[in-house]
Amino acid sequence: MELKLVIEALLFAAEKPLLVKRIQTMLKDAAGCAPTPETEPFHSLKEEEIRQALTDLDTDYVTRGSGLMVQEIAEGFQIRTRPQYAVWVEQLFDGPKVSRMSQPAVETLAIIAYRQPISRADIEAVRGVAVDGVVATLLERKLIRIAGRSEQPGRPLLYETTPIFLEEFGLKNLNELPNADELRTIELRRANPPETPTAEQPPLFNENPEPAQEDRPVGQPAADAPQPES
Amino acid sequence: MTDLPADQPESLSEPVHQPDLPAPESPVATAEPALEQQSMPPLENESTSELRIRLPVFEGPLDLLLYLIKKDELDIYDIPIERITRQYLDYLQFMKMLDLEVAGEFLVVASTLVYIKSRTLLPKDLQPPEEDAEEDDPRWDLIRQLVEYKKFKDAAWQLHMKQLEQGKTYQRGAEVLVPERAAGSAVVGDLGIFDLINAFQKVLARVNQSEDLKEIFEERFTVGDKINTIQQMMATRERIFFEDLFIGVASRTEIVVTFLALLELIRLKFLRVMQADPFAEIEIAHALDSTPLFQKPVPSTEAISAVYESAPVSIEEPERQPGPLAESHEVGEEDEIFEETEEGTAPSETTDTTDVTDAPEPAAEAAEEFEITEEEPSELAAEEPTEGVAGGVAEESAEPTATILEPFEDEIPEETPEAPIEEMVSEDTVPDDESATEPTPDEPTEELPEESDDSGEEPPAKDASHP
Repeated sequence: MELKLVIEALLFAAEKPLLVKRIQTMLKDAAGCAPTPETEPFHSLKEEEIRQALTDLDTDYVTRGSGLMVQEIAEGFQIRTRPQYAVWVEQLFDGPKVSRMSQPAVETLAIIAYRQPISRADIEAVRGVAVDGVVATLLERKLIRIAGRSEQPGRPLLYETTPIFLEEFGLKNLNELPNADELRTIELRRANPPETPTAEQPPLFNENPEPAQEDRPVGQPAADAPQPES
Repeated sequence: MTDLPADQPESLSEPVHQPDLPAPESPVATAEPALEQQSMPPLENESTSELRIRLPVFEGPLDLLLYLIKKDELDIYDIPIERITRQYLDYLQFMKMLDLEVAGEFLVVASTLVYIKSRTLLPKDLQPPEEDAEEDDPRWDLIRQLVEYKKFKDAAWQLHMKQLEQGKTYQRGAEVLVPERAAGSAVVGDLGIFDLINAFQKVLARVNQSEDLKEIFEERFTVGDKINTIQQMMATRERIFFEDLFIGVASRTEIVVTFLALLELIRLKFLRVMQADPFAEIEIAHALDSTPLFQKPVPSTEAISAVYESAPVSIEEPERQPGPLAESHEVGEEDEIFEETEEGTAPSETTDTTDVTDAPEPAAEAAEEFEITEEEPSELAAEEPTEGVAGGVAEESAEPTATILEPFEDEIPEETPEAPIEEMVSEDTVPDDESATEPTPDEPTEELPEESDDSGEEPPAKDASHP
């Protein structure tokens, strides 16, 4: 019994991405419940071995020329159809799978993805426009969820992305977000805490010189300021 | 014009870093030089018809700012504040002029811009010190915000690309989207009448140029017919896009009647409208419990549809129904009258337009009502009907004249004839229109209270129609 074939069966039967750890556990449990010469070799496999089997399986698909592939996604692995067959598979679903997301929706989702957990007010501080409706939509689509409450005044709700987000966007994990290094770490302007409701000019609580910011001599714009454009 | 419908879907595919903004670029870019030299009217002229459609591109004030900066290839770190402020305020002005809802955030940024500008007017040593400012440049705060936002905007674009890519692969047992999405992702409550009307205006804008005054044509369409047509379209399909309703629709009246039919079907809870998210395309689906319409034995629709069928734009209802529903049809009658006069002879412009402005009201009312009954009753319904309905539904016959008119009066003489809007073509009465629109304020006020009765007491009214 080849390990990769066992895993193939598991992946096929599972609708959600399977974590390597989960596969490991299942193999172990199977050996525990029904100890046979076939299950026992997989009793205590290392994660690397399982990963290797997953890779082998995908390689098999490639060499054999399958319509399927093994994709690492949302922290786990999943058997999925290959993109080039989308035209046909779409017919199952009466159209393309991805519903059109509006620009505000994607932007809001991106801000949440990079900065989670984050409160709505902080999202709005970045986007400069209210996001209530968009957040509600994202919640409803289960792309984000409530992560808890902030300790800030008012204890606003915090939002974070869900595994469904990773699945829908084909990400292995949050580190795979485009430009993750910078955007996950730069300090953002924060929303005003409720006590100082001077929404017009939110003070910058975080004075973090962004890289781009340093490109320019600090004093210079002030000098230019009086005659901006004549 | 042709790319307008594509605008909404496109809005996503329009990242900041992309060299060309598909939809918004052309009209504004052309208008830009004019803006620079002269003041506003030229810009209005060129972009009036486009702007309302283009609006969804600018999701917020920062989007607008970034767009303005990019359009002129300005250095984001050295924004010419005076110029940007002027352009920004111009845009705000248009939005207001077109009855578009200007979110408060736009005004916040506007005030910031004006503040910065005013600061820069002072000699440097007289400028009041910025509180908490780590920089001397008053622009800095804004610039920071812009830069930060742009980074996320770009990232969002990349994410979106990944999503599209990933959308091409399917896992086993992938959700069948039709039922799933209809129930789950499409937020029924998110779609207000304002969205509908926006879409409606879009459709109208598409045909406005080709519209001639064809009397016979106009008479042919009744709400009843259109209800049947929509029923047929929906009989075999789960959902259709809003714009599909108007494929092959030739005249403005036909569009209006189709729109009314849609509203009617929504009001009767046979159909519902959905939007996956704000500014996505509007979709029309069967109401949750509904079987395809033709299979459904429902007296109410039939009654209504029968009524509508018998008369173009439902003239007969008043006689049949002494009940509260009568008003709406009375209005319909006026509407029809208007159409006749408008199309055939245009003797009394003033009366026409007043009639016209009445006519929209039922639609508005129906819309509002539908909004309330079908969807979230609360905020959306509250905001939208006021703004959107008044402006939008009026579209039916008079609204374009009313809203778009003012810009036009100025422009038609002076600017390119190329900015043709419904009114210009369909009505040679541009000068009169303004006077014509004046009476309108009175009319709606009369109508409105009655209408609201109508919505409330719907069922009795229907019964009344039977005898």
